[in-house]
Amino acid sequence: MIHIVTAENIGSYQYEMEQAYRLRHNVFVDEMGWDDLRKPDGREIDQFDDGRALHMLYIEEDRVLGYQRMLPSMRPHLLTEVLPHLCEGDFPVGPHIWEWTRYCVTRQHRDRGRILSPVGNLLLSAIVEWGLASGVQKIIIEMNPLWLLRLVQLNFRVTPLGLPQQIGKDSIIAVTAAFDRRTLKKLQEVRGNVVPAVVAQPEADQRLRA
Amino acid sequence: MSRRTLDDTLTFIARVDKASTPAEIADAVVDVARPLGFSHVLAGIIPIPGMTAEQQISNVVLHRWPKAWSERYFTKGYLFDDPTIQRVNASTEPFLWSELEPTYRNTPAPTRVMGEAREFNLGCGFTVPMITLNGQTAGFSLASERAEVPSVLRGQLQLIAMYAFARALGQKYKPAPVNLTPREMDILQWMAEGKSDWEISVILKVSEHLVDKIARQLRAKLNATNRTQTVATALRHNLIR
Repeated sequence: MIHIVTAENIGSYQYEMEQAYRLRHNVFVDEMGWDDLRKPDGREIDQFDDGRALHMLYIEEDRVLGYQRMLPSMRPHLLTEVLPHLCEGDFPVGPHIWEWTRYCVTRQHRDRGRILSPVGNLLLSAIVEWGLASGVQKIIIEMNPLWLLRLVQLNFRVTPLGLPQQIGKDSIIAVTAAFDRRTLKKLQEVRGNVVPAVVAQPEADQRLRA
Repeated sequence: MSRRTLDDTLTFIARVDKASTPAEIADAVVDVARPLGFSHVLAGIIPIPGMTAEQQISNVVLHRWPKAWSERYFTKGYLFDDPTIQRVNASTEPFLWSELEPTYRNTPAPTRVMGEAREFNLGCGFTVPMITLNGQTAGFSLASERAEVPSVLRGQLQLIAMYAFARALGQKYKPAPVNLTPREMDILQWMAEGKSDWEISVILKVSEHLVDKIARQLRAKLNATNRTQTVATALRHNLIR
């Protein structure tokens, strides 16, 4: 299930975060060939992994099987610093907008037969649960345009920030995806239950929820 | 140039969001693709081999395609020889039909399909492969006698395809509205709570015969064969309070 890790509780997640950085390196460097991110110690950590980043970890029996990172749009993030050419107008910025990056799932737990995997569904559900509870309404995504149809079918309101561009051998588009209760309902319907995806989060977030 | 293309795309998305029928979506698609020379659009879930013509046709979600050609294409089973369909099943990159020509040049069946399409003024086409939430493969094709797609606009057409397809798919599989009388609604609620016809007749102070009659009406209206299916279908239609 999904654990939310921020500066507040990262101290008690050292072992899991270590696995998360290694999972990121395995997926993005070794598998997808993003060589700019290669690190000699096999831990993929960048300048955005600072005190303001919010990590979401899918953990099963102490093993990190899925990961994603949320960055506040009010501070420098990938779209503004690394991929600004994907956004043709003004950057979407605000306390209710966060950027979704580094989504990854271990190979064994990935989409089978092209259906959104249960781990993938829970990671997406975690964003929506967290967003609905904390006032976040919209996420910025840089992704393969192929994902667009699925997001729309999951009741995200997806708005392109630019046209798809070729980066290396990948086609990539920047969008914002707004969500609400209907999105959560659809994700629950697809996975067939309404059990919350997020099982642990920092105290501050829990106070926000109460 | 690019900024205008994005604005055109955003205008298109807003128009498709408001469209209430597949015909309106097709109109919006043809309007935005006409400057490139396209006049026809066809989109649907790709049928699996062995499907009958009727099943193939029921997979279509957007149809602004020469009728005579569709009839011929589906009744003759051309779909399974169509090189554009084969490519959609194999790759997720959008493509121009002309790019496939070298792959089937010496094979009679696909050559015939593409040749006959040309006779129906569909000589030039662009197809966007897609994968639905359920993992099904889908395709969206624009075509006409003559069209050009500058490479910078391929991405725009890919976006247009996905928005139009998602919207049309949502409309097609939206459960048809079911109108129930207040009495039917009452009895349905009690059925959902697991009460028998006799129990419901006691609660509502009516005859058991009447409850049985209305339960049968409900089965017919919800196209269900038994009580469990009636309640399940009603849940999907949001009829249970």
